[in-house]
Amino acid sequence: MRKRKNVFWLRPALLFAVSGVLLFLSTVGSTRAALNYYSENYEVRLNVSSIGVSLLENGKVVSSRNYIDNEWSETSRPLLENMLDQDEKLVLGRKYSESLAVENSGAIDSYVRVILYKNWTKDEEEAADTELSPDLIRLELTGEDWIEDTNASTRERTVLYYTKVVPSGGRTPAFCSSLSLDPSIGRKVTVSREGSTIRTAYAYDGYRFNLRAEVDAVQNHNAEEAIKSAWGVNVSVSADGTLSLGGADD
Amino acid sequence: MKRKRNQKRMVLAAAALVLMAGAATKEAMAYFSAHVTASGGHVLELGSVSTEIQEEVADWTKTILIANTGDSACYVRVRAFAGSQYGLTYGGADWTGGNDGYYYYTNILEAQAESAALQIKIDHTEAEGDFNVIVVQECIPVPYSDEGEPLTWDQADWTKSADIVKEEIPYGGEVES
Repeated sequence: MRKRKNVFWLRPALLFAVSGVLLFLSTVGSTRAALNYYSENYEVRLNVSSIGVSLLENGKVVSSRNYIDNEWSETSRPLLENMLDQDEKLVLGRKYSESLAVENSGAIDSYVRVILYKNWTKDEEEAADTELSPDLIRLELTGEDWIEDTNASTRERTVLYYTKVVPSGGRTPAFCSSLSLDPSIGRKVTVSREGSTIRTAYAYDGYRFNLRAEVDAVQNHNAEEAIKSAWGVNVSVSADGTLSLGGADD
Repeated sequence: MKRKRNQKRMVLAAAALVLMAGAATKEAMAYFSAHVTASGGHVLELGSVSTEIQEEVADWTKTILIANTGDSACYVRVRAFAGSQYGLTYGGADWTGGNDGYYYYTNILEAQAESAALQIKIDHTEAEGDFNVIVVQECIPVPYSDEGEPLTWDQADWTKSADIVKEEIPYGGEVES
């Protein structure tokens, strides 16, 4: 009877031991993979784990977020702050210099994308006025090594991907060179009638045009899976590191 | 008894699989990513462009002055109409005739400023009874180039018409165009 009881516990114990060994081996495998990746720069391994990205406007950092000493360090200024001089009046049709680029301010090489939003608002309201056209806020895109995801872009939103790896400390070429307001704004009017009186007013007068830029960065190592995980987008990365939209399963 | 043993084995195996899956999931989520955003904008103040005409008549000559009563700079043009038997002769510094019968003030008329005088001399040798000389004046906001430089009076497009994007009618409804 005692002998049979021992046999009964032997097999489960054996199975448990095997699963424990398997689990241990899987952990060892991950550790070995990580060590292989970092082994060449093992002495700077702490820096390797820090990522960061900055948005540049006309060559100056306007907003940044960097992971330094185990915490996020952020800076932020408004866009278009220096577009007009003091008391300068906005001129329809004029191209204002609006050079926008991305800097890799982290310690690992990254892929980056930018999402630009443009809209009109009235009287400090946050909600965009959908009756006024975002098309009239014109951004001159350079296209230099930047590709637009036309499936994700709308009249109000433009989604751009930089096709190259941005090395640590490196900068992309500008994805936007200028901003202007369509001169046809000066002809768009609203007409109200009161009896025999017809009043004509500029449709866009007093409205605020807004530009928002969102910049995303993700590690270049294992990029396709990392981008899918972080941005939810299928991309392909060729042997030379060039990124293109659409993955193998598209 | 054998059935009970099988159940225990399966529980142990399932626990081992869950542990391994958990370990693998943790590894897959460890991607480095960062996000930054910035926004800004400006209020569009188009101001108003409105002009008033001032006329004086003396010695069969109408003297026309155009005042910019709005708060934006503009260009102005003037044309006079009279019966065909009354010849009209235009003259004045900084005014020049166009091919369309209008006379154009060649300078930018700044807000709250007044143009130079335009004289319209009326040939009355065949005048009989009362007659009218009607003066029409038009203005447009100064257009600008891509570089922000003002275009000249002859580069401006005088044929553009207003684009009515919304029309409000008295009983409260709105008509979109």
